Amino acid sequence: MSPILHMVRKDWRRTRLILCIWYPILILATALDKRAGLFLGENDGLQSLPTPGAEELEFGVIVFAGVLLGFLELFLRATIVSRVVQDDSTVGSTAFWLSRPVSARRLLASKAMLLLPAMVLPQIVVQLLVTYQLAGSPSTATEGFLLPVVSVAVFMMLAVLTPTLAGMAVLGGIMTGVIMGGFLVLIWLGMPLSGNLGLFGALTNELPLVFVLGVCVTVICHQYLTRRTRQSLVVAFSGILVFLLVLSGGWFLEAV
Amino acid sequence: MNSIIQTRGLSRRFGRTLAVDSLSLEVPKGSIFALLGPNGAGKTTTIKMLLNMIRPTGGRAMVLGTESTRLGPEEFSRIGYVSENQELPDWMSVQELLDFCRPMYPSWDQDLCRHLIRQFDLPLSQTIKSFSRGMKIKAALLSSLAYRPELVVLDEPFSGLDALVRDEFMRGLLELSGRTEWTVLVSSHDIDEVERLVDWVGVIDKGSLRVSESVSSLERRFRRCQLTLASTDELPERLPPSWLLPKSVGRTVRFVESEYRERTSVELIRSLVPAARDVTASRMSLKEIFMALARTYRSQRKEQG
Repeated sequence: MSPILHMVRKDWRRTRLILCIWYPILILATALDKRAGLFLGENDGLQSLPTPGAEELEFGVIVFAGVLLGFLELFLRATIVSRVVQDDSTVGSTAFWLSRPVSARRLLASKAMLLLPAMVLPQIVVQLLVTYQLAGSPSTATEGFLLPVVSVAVFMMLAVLTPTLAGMAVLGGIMTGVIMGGFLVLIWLGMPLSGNLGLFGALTNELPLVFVLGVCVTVICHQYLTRRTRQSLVVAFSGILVFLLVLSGGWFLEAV
Repeated sequence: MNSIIQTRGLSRRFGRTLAVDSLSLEVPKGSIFALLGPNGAGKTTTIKMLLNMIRPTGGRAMVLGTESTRLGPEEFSRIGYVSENQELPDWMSVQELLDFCRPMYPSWDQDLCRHLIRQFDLPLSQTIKSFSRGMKIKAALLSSLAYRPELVVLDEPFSGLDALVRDEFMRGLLELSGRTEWTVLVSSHDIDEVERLVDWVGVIDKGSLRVSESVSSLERRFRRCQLTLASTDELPERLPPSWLLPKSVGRTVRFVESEYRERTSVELIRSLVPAARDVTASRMSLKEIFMALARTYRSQRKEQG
């Protein structure tokens, strides 16, 4: 067996139980999310569908269960990524793999080889199936493909920069805070909001996601290949800054 | 000297703290080398730099003929590393750990592995998480020796272990030393832990290497000397720098001679202190030598403020 597959097998054994719990919760959470969306008639292209069972109680239960399951699904997703990535941590100098004949490239390849089919693919399939089942229309490219890839990439980026699940949560909180704070500052400075995707919007609506994916992949590769966590954090936060600047588009440059 | 580890001016700084200061060290091939020093002396940092776990901020190190910062899978398949701080995949059982490690090492010796399992008395099916500290260290050692590494690096492997486990560990290592042509680098703050094991010693203090030589050479070089005087006024004002920790109790003067020579040293003492009577020079154990050096470095630091 190749060294990469050997590592994949080890990680699969480590995460298979929790993956088996995550799959049904992912299906349920996605289904409830879509169902709640149908109630609200929020989703573009679904406005003309009849709103099924419009009773307030049913709607409340669906939203409540959806939120609960959504949080549980998010927690499980973070836990799985944390186990896969942080069991062979790139932060610090005590990880088992550091003194074993395992190269950083192969380790990264093995993590990607597990997470893509075990986490990204099921999300894509579930998104497509649930959307098709409930709405009867094919999902957009963003919903169906890019979002699951980006979500796993973001979790993986948080995991490679921290040693524990709690660390992931803290860093995720800080990054979210920086992004929100940046938005608020831009709005306070007078950036127009309506339909504004800045320079991204000039091309496609998916470009912000592609940009986030690019930053995540850069940070992940940099961290695996160099294990310089501070540098990787600088790259990540620079990515956020560039994201905000690009999102504000020409407006920010004009304002300055 | 045919060295398996060589460092030249190896340094590591953490912010303002200089953890390792221009360390130049050679570990001879085939030796069991003890890197000794008090807690915080820089032993673990040195070992981590040697194994490319952290980067040096100055100098360089060669390990198995390769620059330490370029150590890769090929070199690590010839190195065994056990540390008190090392993380083990503790969700695995010992058998799973061995099954995981075995394919990584072309030189894995299943007979030796079975022998070590018996010797360490490790339950194969129990998860490592449920193990005591001693058993965890034994599991780590098992997974680091079964492929007959050329270089074994043990970073404070005995700290916190009870005497029984330490003895089993030591017997395992000593027995293997007879079977395998390897080099062992073991760090410890307690000479007692490694005295039986080692044939070469390096003493590190505040990041600097103070001594690096064979145990036999140290034992030849160090003597506890004692002489009797009518009065301590008869001592010369300036004592030779090789006289460590001079101390007078009544009319008896004691010190450690760090440059003892069988035929000349006693005569030298008599010529420096003509009034000296009953001059004796007794052999010192490795522990006594280490303690004398540690006290000397400490008093030197105090003098330097």
